[in-house]
Amino acid sequence: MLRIANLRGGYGAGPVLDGVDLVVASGEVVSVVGRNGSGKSTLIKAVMGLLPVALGTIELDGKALLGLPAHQIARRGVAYVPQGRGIFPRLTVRQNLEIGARAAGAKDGIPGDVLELFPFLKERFGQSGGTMSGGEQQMLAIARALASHPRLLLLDEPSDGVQPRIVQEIGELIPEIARAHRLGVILVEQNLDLAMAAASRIVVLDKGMIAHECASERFRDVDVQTRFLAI
Amino acid sequence: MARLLVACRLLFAQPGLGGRERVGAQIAVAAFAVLALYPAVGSDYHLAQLRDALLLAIFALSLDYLWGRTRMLVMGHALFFGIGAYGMAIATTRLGWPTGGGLLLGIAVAASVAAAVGYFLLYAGVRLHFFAVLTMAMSLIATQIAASWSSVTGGDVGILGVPPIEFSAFGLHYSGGDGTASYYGALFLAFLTMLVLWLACRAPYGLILEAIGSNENRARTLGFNTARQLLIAFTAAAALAAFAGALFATTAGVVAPDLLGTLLSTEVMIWVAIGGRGTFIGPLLATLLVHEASQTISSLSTSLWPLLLGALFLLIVFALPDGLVSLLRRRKEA
Repeated sequence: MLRIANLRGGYGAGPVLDGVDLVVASGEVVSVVGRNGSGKSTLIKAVMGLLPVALGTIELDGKALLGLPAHQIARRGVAYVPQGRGIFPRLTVRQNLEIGARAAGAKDGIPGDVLELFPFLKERFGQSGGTMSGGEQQMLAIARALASHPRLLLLDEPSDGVQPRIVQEIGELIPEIARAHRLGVILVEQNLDLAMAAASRIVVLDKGMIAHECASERFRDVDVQTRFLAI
Repeated sequence: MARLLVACRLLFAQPGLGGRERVGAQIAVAAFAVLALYPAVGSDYHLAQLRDALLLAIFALSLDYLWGRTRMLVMGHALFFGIGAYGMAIATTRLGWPTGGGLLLGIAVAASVAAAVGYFLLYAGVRLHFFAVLTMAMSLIATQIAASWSSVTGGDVGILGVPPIEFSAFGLHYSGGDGTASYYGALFLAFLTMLVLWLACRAPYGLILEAIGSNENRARTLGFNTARQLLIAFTAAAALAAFAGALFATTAGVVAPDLLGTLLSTEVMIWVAIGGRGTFIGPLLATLLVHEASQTISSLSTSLWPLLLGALFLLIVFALPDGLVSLLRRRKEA
C-alpha cells in the first residue's frame, strides 16, 4: 500500500535520510526504532509532506505523495499524530474530533466506530483538550486522526510523557485498529516494549539508512537489540 | 446549490450556548439597550461622537476576527480602513459617483490589495511578526502616497466634502446628514457586524480558524489548506475594515492621510487588546469607551492622550492579557 523507495532528504543543511526503502501493507503495523538523530521522526514527516527537502519515491496505492503539500497528503488518507500530541488544547474533546472528521471532508460529524474504540471520550465531550492528562490527550489525538478514516496512520512516539499503564493500552489498541480498519501504521518509538508489542515488523534506522529489519519476535533477542541500538 | 448549502452549514450551523458565551451575550444585549436609548439623553455633539466610535468599532471587529481567531496580527490595519475612506471620498467627490458606488469601490480596492499582497506573503509562509511588520510597512507606504499624490488624494489636506449617505427603501427615507438617523444606522451596523462574526466563528468555520490559530502545522496535517484559509480571512477582514472606513468618511465628511497611518493602526490593536481578543463584544465596547476617553482627555491636553493610552495598554498586557471582558466573566464565575 505505502511504498517508499530511495528516500533522501532533510531540513536543508545535509541529508537526514540517506536512501530509505520501506513498504507497509494495509493492516500492517511497522515500528521504526533507532537512536536519537537516526531520522525516525524525519521519515514520517517526509511521508506527511512536512520536510523541506525530499527526493525519491513515496507512493500510496500507486499514487505519488512526494511533492504534494501536507493538506493534500492528508486528504489522500494519511493521518499524522505528531510527537507531544497533536490536539488543539483550547477546543473541547468534541470539537477536536469534529475538526478531525471535517478536515477529511466528512459532513456528518464524528464517526461512531471511533467513539467505540475510545468510550471514555464520549463522557468528556465538553472538556477542553488541554485539561486532560497526557495519556488521555494521546488517545484523543489518535481518535482524532482516525476520525478522518485514513488509509495510513503515522504515529510519532505516542509513549512520550504517558504513564506505563496507558502505554500498554496503546500497544494493544494499535494492532487492533490496524486489523479492524485495514489500516497501515508506521509507529516511530523509543520505547522498545511498545514498539514490539504493537508491530509485527521492526525497522532499525541508523544515520538515515535502514540498518536492520526483522519480525518483532526476533527483535526480542537482546543480542540483536545490542547490535543495532548499542544499548 | 449543494455547495452553497454546505457553505451555509459551515458558516452558520450553531452549537448550544455555553456558559461563557451566555455572559458575553448578556453584556451585548445590555449594551445594545443602553446605546439604543442614548439619543433620549445625549447631546447632539456626544451623539455624533458615539456614532463615529460605533463605526470605528466595526473596524475593531474586523481586526478582532483576524487577530483573535487566527492569531494573525496586522500592525497596519488602518491601511484598509483608509483605503475604504479614500475610495468613498474619491468616488463621490472626484468621480461624481453615488455613495453606494463609493462604498463598493473602497471595499473592492482594499480586498484586492489584501488578496494580492496576502497571496504572495501567506502562500510563501510569511507569518507572525514578519507578516505584522510587513503590513505596517504597507500602511506607511500608503500614507506617503496619500500625502504626496495631491491631484487624486488631496495631499496632506485630504479631501473635503464627502457627502452623507442617503437612500430610500420601503417608503422610508434614510438621511446620513441627520444626527439621530446616522447614529442608529451606525449602531445597527456595528451590532449586526458583531452578530454575523460571532455566529460564523462559533459555527464549524470558527473551529477551523481556531485550529489554524492554535497550531497551523497541525491543522495542515489534518487536511486544511491553511494558507488559503488565512488568505480568505485576511481579505475578508480588509473588506470589513474598508466598509467601516467608507462609512466613516461619509459621516466625518473628510478624509486625510492619518486614516491610513500608524496611530490609527496602533489604536485599533489597543481597542481589541483592551476589550479582549476573540470576544467581539469586548473590542466593540472598548472602542466606544477608549474613543470617548480620548476625546475628553485630548480636549484637556493633546499630548497627554498618547501617553495615557500607552500606559493603559501596558497595564492591560500585564494585568489583564485577555482584556476587560475576562474580568466580567471571572466575576461571574467566582
